[in-house]
Amino acid sequence: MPDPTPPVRFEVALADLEKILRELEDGTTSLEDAMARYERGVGILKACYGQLRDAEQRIRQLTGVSEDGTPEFKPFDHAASVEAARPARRPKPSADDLFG
Amino acid sequence: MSLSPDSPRKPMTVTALTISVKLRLEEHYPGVLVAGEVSNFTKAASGHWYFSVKDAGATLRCVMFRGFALRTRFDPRDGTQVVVRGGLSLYPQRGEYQCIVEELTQQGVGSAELALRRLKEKLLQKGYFAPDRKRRLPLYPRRLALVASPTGAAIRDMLQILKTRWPYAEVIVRPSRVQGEGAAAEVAAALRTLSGLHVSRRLPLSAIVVGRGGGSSEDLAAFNEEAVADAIFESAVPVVSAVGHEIDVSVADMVADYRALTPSEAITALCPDCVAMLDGLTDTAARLDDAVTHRVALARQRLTQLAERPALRKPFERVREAEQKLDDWGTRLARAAERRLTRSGEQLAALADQLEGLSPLNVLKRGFTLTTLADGRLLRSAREVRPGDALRTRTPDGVVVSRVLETPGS
Repeated sequence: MPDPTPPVRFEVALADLEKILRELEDGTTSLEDAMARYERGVGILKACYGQLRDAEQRIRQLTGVSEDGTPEFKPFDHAASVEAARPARRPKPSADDLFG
Repeated sequence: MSLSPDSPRKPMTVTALTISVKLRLEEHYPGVLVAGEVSNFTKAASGHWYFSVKDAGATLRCVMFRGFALRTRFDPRDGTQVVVRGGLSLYPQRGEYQCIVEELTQQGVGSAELALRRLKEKLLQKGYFAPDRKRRLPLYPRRLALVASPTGAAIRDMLQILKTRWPYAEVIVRPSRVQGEGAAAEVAAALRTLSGLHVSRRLPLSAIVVGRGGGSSEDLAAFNEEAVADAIFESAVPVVSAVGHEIDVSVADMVADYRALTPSEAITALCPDCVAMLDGLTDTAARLDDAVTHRVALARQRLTQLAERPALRKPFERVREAEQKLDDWGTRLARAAERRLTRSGEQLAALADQLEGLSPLNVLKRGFTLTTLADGRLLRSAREVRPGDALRTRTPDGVVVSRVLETPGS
């Protein structure tokens, strides 16, 4: 199932934000460009906020690797005592999306 | 008193005596542990080592045969403080007693420590500790693998800190024994498995933390083994060691891309603080707003400056002035007309009042009448009429016609 929102690459997102800020603070961009950059900056910020605020740790135990090289998991037991039960939320985007 | 009472004056051979002493020495001193300083150290062509161990008061001749010498993990030199383990014997040809050394260790240093030093030297030569080999840790790890005992304090500490500090990361736990027999092989295997999954893209990882809680230095043994060092060195994923011992730096610590003192510190070093980051984003949002507000203000200012340039200003201003004047005039006109109308109304009313006051009809209302002659002139004097003339007299409710009967002159 495709993820509803792709996860943010913070490295990229924050670098983009910094660039946008510098350009805006420079004052050398045209007004139209400035507005477009601002919109983009706000969009990036929102995405970052969302990802961090909604983050819910996923802990799995790697039990082994199958013959065809697929990792096999089970829920990690120790987590039960560490993580208090939380209400179920929508499925989170997978970390794999960040590794291309 | 005699050693051989039955043959009082028969001399012994030198060999017999020497062998006798040799046997007694070997019988009584089969295993000695002697500490002292090495002197007259020589390596013979045969591979045997000849040296003395001495202290302030005495000297002990020593020989270490090739097989034993090969197992020694350091280079003895004159002056080195050592502990020799061996048995006493005697070299008949020279009549010297000596120690046949089986193990030579540097004083104050255990053999495990010596092995470790040897390993460190070897790995150093292989470039395992080179600073430029250390990889940068990811800034915002998305998936972390933890290699640790599944029941230990290390994993608990790491998960607790992760939960508050960086819940954004997915955590993969690969349980492994971290001490005791076979622990090193398990840790190494876990590292290789994870690295392999990263390389095959089946389970990409941001970093691997290999950790255990604090303990005695013996417990660190697994992290001082070559197998673990190799696995860390060959890992395709940056490795953080969190072996938990402040004094002893393990081989794993030295090979790892980052050495943390404790498992908790490993997570702190590896993950940004989510709360601080949200604060940072809030600041960034404010900066963004300020920047765009400022940018717009700047644009407005420029526009104003442009508009004030004479070339641009004049034609527009003329038109605007004209327009303004027109508007102004229009308003004034409308207002003036209105005012005039109002005033006219008021004047009319006043005039009407005045007229009405002046109207002779009003005088009539007060009991006066108005008499005119036949030609319509107002009768003002008695001399204007003669007897027989007709007169018209106006009263408030009608006109009376009459004839003059008498005048003052008649």
